[in-house]
Amino acid sequence: MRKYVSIGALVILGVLFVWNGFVFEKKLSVSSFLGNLVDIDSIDVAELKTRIGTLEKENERLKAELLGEGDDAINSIKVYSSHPFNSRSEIAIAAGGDKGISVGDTAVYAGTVLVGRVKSVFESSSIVTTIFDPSWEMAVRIGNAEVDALLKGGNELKIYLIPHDTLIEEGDAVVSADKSFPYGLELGYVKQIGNTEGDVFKEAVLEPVLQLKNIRNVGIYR
Amino acid sequence: MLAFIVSLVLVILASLLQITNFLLIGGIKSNLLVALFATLAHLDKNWIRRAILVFSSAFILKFTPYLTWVDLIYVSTAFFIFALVDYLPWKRLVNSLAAGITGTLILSFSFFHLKTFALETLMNVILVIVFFVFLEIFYEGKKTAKKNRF
Repeated sequence: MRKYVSIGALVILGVLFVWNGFVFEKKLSVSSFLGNLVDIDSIDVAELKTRIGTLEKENERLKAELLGEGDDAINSIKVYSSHPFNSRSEIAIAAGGDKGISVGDTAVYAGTVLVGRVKSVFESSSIVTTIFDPSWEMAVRIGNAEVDALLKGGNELKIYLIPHDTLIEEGDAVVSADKSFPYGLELGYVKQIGNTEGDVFKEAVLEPVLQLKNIRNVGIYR
Repeated sequence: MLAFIVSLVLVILASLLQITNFLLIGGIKSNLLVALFATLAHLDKNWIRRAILVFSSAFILKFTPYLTWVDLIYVSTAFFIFALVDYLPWKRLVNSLAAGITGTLILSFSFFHLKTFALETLMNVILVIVFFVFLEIFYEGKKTAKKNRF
């Protein structure tokens, strides 16, 4: 009898594994709830200060929108969960086709920080590929001189193709300059510059503004 | 049966944690499931019950409503971990460590980055050792050790 119960359970799990569309969003919300539950004690004062800063920024932007200066953005979408393995950096968010989100839309944090691009859309959820994904590549501009370069994703964000004769310094702001995204979205700051004598281009390491561990809500630009 | 129920609860909790950002340390996620399977393989040799554990976790970890290559690779890797623990000729802890490292390597293969892989492997090795110690204290201490299949 026990054997048949086990085989029955296995068959049900097999079916759910192949196709789980009808419980997909419920499953994501359960994991989101658990994530919030276990994460509640790990927030330190510095993180809270950062969060207050970003919330103040977001508040200002929302006020501006209420006064009629808004754009075609969807704000404050809950982040459900993140991809389980390091081979990809993706997040699932609690809005989809029902809110008018479509593939290629831009996901932002606190209104101005680039999170990533919508990869796939379901009825009431979407998957966003973040800037930390190993396959991520985009055009960026560095500092006040607006030096053009190429940002590549991964666990450590790196900036390539910086012309050798340009002057950039550690601490320079890096913003989006890719035609797929609104111009000037914040990415981070130059952390370390790699200078090799004789090379045409130099490289740099980016210190990102976005910390995936702390992200709870995102906005979408269409 | 109690051991299986405890294993199933642990696998479900680990899977739910695996898709949160809670596990991120320095931008890298350890793989709780790889470490758990590499340890739980000593507990139960029944492949139907093992399959229930694997498919339960695969169902929770699935990041799309439809089937993708990542899901298939994950399920195959999980079964491979169980098989490695069974058939490797070394001591039980060494078998678990080897299976855990191999599982981490296979799952990192699609976008291999040495530093990320090294750090994730280190985290997973620590997890395997911790889980193994718990297994020895709470379960295996009450039983006589089973011999390796070789």
